Amino acid sequence: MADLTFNTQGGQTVARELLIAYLNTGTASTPVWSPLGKRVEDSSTEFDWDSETKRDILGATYGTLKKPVISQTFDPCELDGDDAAQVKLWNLAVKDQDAQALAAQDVLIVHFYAGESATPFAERYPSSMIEITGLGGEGGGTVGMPITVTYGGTRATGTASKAQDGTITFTA
Amino acid sequence: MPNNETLIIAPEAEQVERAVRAWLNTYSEKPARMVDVEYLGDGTGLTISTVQAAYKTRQFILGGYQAQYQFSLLYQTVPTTANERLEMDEILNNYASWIEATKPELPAKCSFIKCTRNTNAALLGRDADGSEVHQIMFTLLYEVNV
Repeated sequence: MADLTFNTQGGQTVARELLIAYLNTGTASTPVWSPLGKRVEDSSTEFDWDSETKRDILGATYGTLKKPVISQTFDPCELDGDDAAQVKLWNLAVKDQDAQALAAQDVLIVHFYAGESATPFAERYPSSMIEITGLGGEGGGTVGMPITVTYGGTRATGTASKAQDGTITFTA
Repeated sequence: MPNNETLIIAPEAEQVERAVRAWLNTYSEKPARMVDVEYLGDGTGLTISTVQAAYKTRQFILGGYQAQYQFSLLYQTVPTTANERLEMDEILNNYASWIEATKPELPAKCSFIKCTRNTNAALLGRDADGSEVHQIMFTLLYEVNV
């Protein structure tokens, strides 16, 4: 894939809502992409490149990196019946405790700021691990269900489009 | 004190204020004919007053946000006895109970969360002509694009 440019205004920073992760709450063949992170105020992907460095006998330093392990936490993720992603994860984790299914979730990251505005860059991780790390909260508050996603599987890159009604379509 | 980055844009703030006034005017046991805005006039009157313009309290990564609007409900009349003064507070406290049990029709894209009183009714001030203003204060929480 050729290098992409940002489709946002030059000289301005990119708004946080232009980077969104989606969970497939449909099927592999007919995906329904539901956003992750409703009511989450702060969440970032973390890249672990497994870096190593060495210095040779000439005094030069060299480094090596591996393909990154990318993970992201969404906290507190208050439960909401309208949040399809949360409802699916609650059923898998709390009701069914289906560890195998939770380790093989289909997740899409759309970079709305990169590439064409109508069809921005997107990357699909069809076998991502999603851990539910808690369930509860403080008295008088709401029930939160923080999650940690480790993006995995055979990564596919492509573009995404967003319809008027918000439906996301990924094209590899 | 919210800064300019967290203040709600003026059109939305104005729409929320209008919606709150319309809501309060649906209460069937108001002690005055209607709830005005920032004005009491002479004699008996009811009004809402903005304590702090609506501002964002939480900004979400998906683009939506939570906001709050603080207002007070003021009731003015001319009580002549201690009992009538106590009645003024009772009327406002009953009004507050109704407010906390109902919800307004907020502008499109706004979802009501709750409206709770921050204080119970109490005397705010007394004029030389004997009229008194009692007030009770509220915080209304809502979400936008969530």
